[in-house]
Amino acid sequence: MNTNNNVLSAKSLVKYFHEPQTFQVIKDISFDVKKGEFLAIMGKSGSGKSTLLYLLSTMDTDYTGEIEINGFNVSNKDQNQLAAFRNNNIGFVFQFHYLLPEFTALENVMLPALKQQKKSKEEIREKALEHLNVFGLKNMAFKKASKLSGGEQQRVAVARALINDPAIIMGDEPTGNLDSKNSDIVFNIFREIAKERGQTIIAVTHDDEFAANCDRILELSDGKIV
Amino acid sequence: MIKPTNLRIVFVHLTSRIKQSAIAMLSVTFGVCMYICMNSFMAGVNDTQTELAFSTLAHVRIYNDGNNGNTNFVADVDDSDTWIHVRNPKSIQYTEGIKHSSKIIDELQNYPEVVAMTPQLNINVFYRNGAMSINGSLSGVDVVNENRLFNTSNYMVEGSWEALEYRTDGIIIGKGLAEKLGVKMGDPISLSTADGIIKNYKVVGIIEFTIASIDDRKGFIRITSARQLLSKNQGYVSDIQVNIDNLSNAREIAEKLQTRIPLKVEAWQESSGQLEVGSKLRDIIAISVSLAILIVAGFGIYNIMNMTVNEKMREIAILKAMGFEGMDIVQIFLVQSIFVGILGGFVGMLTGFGISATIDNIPFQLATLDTYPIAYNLSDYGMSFFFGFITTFIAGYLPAKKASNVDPIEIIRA
Repeated sequence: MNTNNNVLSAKSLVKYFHEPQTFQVIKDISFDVKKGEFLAIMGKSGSGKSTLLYLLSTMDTDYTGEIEINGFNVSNKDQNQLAAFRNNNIGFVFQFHYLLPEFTALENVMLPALKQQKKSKEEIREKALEHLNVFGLKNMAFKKASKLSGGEQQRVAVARALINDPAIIMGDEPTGNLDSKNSDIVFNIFREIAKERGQTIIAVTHDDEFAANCDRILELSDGKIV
Repeated sequence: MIKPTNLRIVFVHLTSRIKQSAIAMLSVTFGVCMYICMNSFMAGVNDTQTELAFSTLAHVRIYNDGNNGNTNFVADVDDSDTWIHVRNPKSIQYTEGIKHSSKIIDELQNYPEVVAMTPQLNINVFYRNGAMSINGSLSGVDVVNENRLFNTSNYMVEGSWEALEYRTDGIIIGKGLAEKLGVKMGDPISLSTADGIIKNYKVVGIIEFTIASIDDRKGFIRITSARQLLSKNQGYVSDIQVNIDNLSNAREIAEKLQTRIPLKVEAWQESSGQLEVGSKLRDIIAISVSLAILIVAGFGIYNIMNMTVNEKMREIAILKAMGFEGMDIVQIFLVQSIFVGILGGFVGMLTGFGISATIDNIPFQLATLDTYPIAYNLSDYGMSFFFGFITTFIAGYLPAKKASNVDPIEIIRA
């Protein structure tokens, strides 16, 4: 499938913002990401790092250039195809957790797999419980997401990102809203995922300490890699 | 197909906001309930009106309307071997009334739509009691069939309708007429015809239709007695009144009969058009008012669903990031509205029935009514549910569509 061992490759990405005025955010960026790599995207605010991540995430389709993920060209595909693709291949961890507050932690974790419909509900449940267990959330599984602390919510979010065994996990400032203790926990989970399971991590961050421990740093300035 | 995962989300959404869901449901309930009450009441009023009107009016009336189209004196002779010579033709009195009613009655027997018919001999007479003399109308009737068509016996205030059958000199008169003449049951009165014939009768019953123009003028005797009074032959009648199985088809059936009967065949819509107009207008009012209420209910749902969608923007964004498609999002929010609509519709039908049944028992003593009139038509219940469902569907679809168009990046980055 990936003879060159690249799980993601971006070719000459260009993106404009049109509001409030036309402005080029991403200026002809090309790069590859290897399987199992832990990549940090850094840069000052306004450098286009989050924008780049959302291009890679397939959620933002308003760009020119080519993105290939896991051997599948995701450029110029329709929204429904991309939704299914995300479900199978990409896990997300956001800065502000974004769990469904009315659901239990366990249900939150199960949701992407239930959507995928590849496994039975029992299997999914078992797997989700196992993930929560690994992240030290065994006792929180049946609590409503809104009742968990910030660190716990973020770990649930990571567990959710992992449930479908995606090739890539994308994080937008995944530790940005956490104290240093919880930051470390989440970082270590990422580290472990990349090393042991060979899943790729791409995280936007401006935490130098976080970035320093990654395999590679992609530094953006004014829409270009420096 | 509704996916079970989406259904699970629907369930959690509905149960985590019980109060809002209940309010949305109640707005549908109210709309459906009002629809049923309004229409049941209007249908009840229409039925009462119809029943009252058809206490003296038949669905189809056959009579001789003079010489119109009836100047061909040899039409009845269908034997082609007969040589007919007409010299100096003149319109003579033969064309008054229906001379041979049995021929037409036999013809009418061939139509399955005809459920009942009765011959009548209607004439204008003077009712006299002592010095009192009142101009009125007299119907010579076939006692049994008259009752079959008009349920005349239901309107008797004193005596019995059947008494006419047993006394050749019996007469039943309207309540107002009896009061004006100052006669009671068993009193004798005399009638005089336009030709100056005077005959005595005995009051065997008093009747009240609650229609003053009839109660003050009308009397009934046996048709045979009426023929005697006019010195007419057996079989002579002035009208044949016909009832059919479905009174709204009267026009078509009248047209059909007209081709076979050489007399005037008149449907009730022609002779009493105002009745039809009245009930149609009432139906329109009922339907438009109740639809307006349902639309208001629709706005209620639209509002609540819109609020829900706005509240759940972040969740929608995250669902989309996780791989839920636009259709899934539409489904999640639309199914919520539909559920609310169906539940509200059922509760609305039940309360609608309950309230109609209550109204049905509220005393309202006027004319022949004892309580407010209510009709229970299954179609009203079906329509209310159908319209309620359609309104909720549209009111739910718009916010759901909006939710499916949410751009996740805009929400997540904000």
